[in-house]
Amino acid sequence: MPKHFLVLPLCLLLSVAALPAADSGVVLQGVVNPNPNIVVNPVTDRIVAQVVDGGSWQTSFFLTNLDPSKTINWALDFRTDGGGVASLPVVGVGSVTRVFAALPPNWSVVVDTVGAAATLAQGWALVTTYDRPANMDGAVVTNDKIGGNAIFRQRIAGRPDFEAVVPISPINETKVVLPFDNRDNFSTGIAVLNPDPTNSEVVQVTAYSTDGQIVRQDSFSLPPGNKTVFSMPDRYAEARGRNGRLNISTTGTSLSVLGLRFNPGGAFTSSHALSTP
Amino acid sequence: MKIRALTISILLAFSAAVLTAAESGSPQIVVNPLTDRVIPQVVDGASWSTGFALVNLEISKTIYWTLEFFSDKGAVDAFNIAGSGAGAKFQGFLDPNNSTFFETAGTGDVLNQGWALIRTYDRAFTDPAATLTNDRIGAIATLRQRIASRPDFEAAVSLSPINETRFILPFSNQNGFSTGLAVLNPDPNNRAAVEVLIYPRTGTFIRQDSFLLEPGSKLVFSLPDRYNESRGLAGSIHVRTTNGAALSALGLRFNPGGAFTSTPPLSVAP
Repeated sequence: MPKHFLVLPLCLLLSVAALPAADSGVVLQGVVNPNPNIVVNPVTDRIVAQVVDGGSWQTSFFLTNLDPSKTINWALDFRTDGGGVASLPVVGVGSVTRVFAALPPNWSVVVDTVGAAATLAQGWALVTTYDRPANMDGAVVTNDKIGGNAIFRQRIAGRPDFEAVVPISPINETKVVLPFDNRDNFSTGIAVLNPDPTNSEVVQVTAYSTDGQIVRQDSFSLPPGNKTVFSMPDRYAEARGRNGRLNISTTGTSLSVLGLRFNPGGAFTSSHALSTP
Repeated sequence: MKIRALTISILLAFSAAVLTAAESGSPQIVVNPLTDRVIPQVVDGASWSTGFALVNLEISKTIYWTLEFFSDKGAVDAFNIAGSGAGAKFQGFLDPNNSTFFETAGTGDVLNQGWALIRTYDRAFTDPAATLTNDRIGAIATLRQRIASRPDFEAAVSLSPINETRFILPFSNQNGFSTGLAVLNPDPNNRAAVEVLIYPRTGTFIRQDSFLLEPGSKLVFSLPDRYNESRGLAGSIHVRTTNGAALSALGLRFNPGGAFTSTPPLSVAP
């Protein structure tokens, strides 16, 4: 994991949009940047492990300044599941790879993806704070207290919207546990992300029954910035109709994991990974 | 710290873990932020139920746990666990890599709403020598609403320690959405003096409120109903105690179609 800080290269800015976010005084700015220099620092960076837009899906990011005494300059960078730069349509900004703005004390902002595309785009996002506006030359990553969450929304005509909230969290985990429950036609979905931009991670997965018996072991490699998303009963037939726990670990430096619990009627909710030593 | 002895125990089997329900007239609640953990919202009845998943996060040791239910007023409360019957306190143990799942029956006509406290011990808590531990136990509670002719709606709530004195919760009451908030004082002995500030996105607070939470009590409210100024707005609600008491909280986001999801509060260092 690189320990140095990221300095934004201004020369890579191809286009910038600057519009007020809906009903907010915060001026959102967007950037289209095909080749950014991604540097992940567990102390300063924060991950939204799952971002969706299109195909009836939409993501809303809610960011709030947790520091009562200072303005926080933040940026939200979109990534594909393959670790590349993702361009997402953002309400009031346009299709961008990065959104950034400043949040004075006690301010908050909502960043909505448009969700109008016919095809689903899926990826993840990185939240970073800076000592000055993110597009300024010399901007240095900070450890400012910014908090928030992301809300996935599925909107299909004729039925209620379904939503799940995912907190924006630090990425210093290497071992997590996720309860799963595939009984009664419920299904647990898993998103496993390697946020490290330079190193591949070997991910170990062990599914245990409730009485601690190993149901299935698996390991796979995740290249830098890559994420894999799967339905547990689809990938691991041994887990169909069962409940228990999934231990997920890496011998590398960082891992971000999100669980999604789908009920047979189509509704879903997020299931947060539990940190473990 | 007193350990309560079981007066009645009913052994129930959930896979390998042994879950024991207990009933007692006057338990002693003692909260220790290092060892105790709270699920701030538990519901059962009137179409609602709560599922619990507990997992042993220790690598090499057995964890002995208890789960106790309390009403929103802080009194001991019995919840009906499917297949087990009603009880105010349940216990079990989890060997390494074990987990256990159970849920409230959800069959009552009247909504029973409260909160739950999870503790861990070095042995079964019924043993007079049992002492509280700081073992790593993880838990997720799933709040479920089941109404015929529509999909079940669910929201997951993570178990968290109760050492927070201030937090911030994002809210959105726009476009027919509504944010609900549950604020719990898990301390069994002391009141919590709570101060609330509501900020729209642009940072100047639009409403200030303060209230006292009695020991073990919880206040649950709809933000737009309690604070008219927040109707149609989005922003953040800042909650803190002015007497140093610890709080536990949970946000719920309801969409106009009736679905809901949980919103965890954001910790703010003092």
